Amino acid sequence: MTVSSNLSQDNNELVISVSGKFDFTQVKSFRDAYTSNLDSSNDTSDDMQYVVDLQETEHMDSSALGMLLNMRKHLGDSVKISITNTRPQIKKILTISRFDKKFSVQ
Amino acid sequence: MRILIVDDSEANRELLGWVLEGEEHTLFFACDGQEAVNSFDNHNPELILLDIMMPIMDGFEAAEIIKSKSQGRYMPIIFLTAVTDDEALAKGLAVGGDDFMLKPFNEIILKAKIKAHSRILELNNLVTTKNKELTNYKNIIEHEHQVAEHVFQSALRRNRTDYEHIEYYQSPATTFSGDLLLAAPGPTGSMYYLMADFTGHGLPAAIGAVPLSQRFFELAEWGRSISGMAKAINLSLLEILPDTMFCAATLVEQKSNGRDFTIWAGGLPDAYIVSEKGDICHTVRSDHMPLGVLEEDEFEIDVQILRIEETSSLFIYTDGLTEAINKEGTMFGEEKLETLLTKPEWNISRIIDTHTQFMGEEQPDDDVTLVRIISQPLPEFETTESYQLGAFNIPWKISSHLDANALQMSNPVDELIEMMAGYNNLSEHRDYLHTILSELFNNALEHGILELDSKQKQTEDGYLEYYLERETRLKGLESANVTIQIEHPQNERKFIIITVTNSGKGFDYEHIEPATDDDSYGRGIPLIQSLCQGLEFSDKGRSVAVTYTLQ
Repeated sequence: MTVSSNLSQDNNELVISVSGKFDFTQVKSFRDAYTSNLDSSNDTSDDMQYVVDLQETEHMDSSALGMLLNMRKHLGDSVKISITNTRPQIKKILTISRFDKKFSVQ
Repeated sequence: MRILIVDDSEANRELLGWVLEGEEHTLFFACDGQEAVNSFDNHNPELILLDIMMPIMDGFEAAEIIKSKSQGRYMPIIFLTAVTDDEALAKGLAVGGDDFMLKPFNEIILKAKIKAHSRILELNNLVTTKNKELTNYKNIIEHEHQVAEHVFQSALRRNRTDYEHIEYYQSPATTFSGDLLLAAPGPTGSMYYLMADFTGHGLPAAIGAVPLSQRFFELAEWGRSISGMAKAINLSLLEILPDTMFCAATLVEQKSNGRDFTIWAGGLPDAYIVSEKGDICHTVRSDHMPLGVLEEDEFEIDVQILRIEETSSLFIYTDGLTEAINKEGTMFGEEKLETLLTKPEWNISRIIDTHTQFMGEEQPDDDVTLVRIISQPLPEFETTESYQLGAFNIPWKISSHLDANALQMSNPVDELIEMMAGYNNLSEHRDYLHTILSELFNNALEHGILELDSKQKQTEDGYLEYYLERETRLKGLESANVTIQIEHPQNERKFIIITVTNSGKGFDYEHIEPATDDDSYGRGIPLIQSLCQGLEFSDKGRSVAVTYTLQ
């Protein structure tokens, strides 16, 4: 159960990977993943893109949905956030909650 | 030794019998060729002393018959001839005689000859026994190989290298190969590949392929990341392979767009990204130790992430290709390979044709495997097998009554899901049930018992504070309880009812404000409603029940 983040070499893309359960136990580490990475590097470009990689995510519940929405609020509506590698079960939960309107779900 | 003495002269028979008596031989006598053949049939002699000139059937004819009857085993025949009869001597050897004895007999020479033939016979018996053993071993090994081959083939049943964006070649060096090329679609529409080369070749090298392929297909089905896959396979191989054996391998995930590749490379020769026109755009260096070498804590999971232009390809090969040496002692080498790759419209069969020409009649002594994965959008993979849920033949009920102490101890949802995991192929439902149960339990605990207000979660800071507050209140909890009940009430009908009751004050369930798309709270109940058939509150909101259909 960990959240890890990786900034691409050109500082254009931040990939946040969540492994194990994506629920309230990850609240702080998930928020840190998209906030601290930005604060520490001043030369991030404005057209920074975000990717939430759910390949290693086993389960998610509504607290994870809330966390993703908070991320959207924090970054603003114009920033591109993709949710990638969603398994059918997780994709269904995201679709039920109409997350495809606010995120690019792949 | 059993010796048959054949002579029409009684005096000669007696003389020979007398000479050989007391030498621990068993003696048989015959007066002519016909009797000799009969005696051979009846007494199975190990040596025959055979006179030539005899009535009824002479020695030559008898020798021929006996020799033809004793094919496949050593049956020494010593002809008894006169000193002067060179012609008879030559003919005797021609019809299958092994030696001759001059008349009149010399006792010492006769005994020496018998001893010599006895030694040859012993040696011969030994060789025959060994031959039999070898034939047995050969049969056993052939049978074992057949069994092993069956297992090997079955293990690869799930291998899917038959897509048009995959071009490959595997050398038919032996039945069992130390090289392995595996491909399997994952659950998110991506494709996984594993190219592996075990140390050595033949059966010992192929043994590792069985557990490796099983593990690979399992991890692909779960949709593991390439680093996670590399780590898990390394651990499996570390556990089963002897210290002297390991597995050079490249693991690849091609995402569903067909262009994005994630690669873990350990121990195979450098792979290439080659355009259709034959430009080598990139070399994928093998930057890790092979699988099955490093302990878990030393293992490196760094991957290379590449975007490959459409129609370009990833080309991977095993060193059997470049390290093959032909009759002139020249190695095929990487340079020759690179020349072939940089020709327009290069492909695998052209490389193999050139390689075969280069080798001539010399067989490569290592397995050769090549694969080309073309960057192009992947087809939609049909889901491997439709989930057939195991029989729900009996009604059952799981009930868990959690007091304050139990609530503080651990998350009960994981444990309850584990209990149901015994049902065959629950897997697809497992994740939904996990989500539903989490929602119901967290609502009961957070709102029913701890009386937290979801509206606090509206802001980012509030969200964090909400969960910090949850922790604090839970620690201070003295008396409260939550009961979770999961029930399969009827035979065969595949649905279950989940009921969660808490000891809190309850709430006004008839006036739940629907959340908007922007709200970061209030999403639990709509989510449950979409995943379940019914959602019913009772006991002033302290109890909630849902029905989940397992179809």
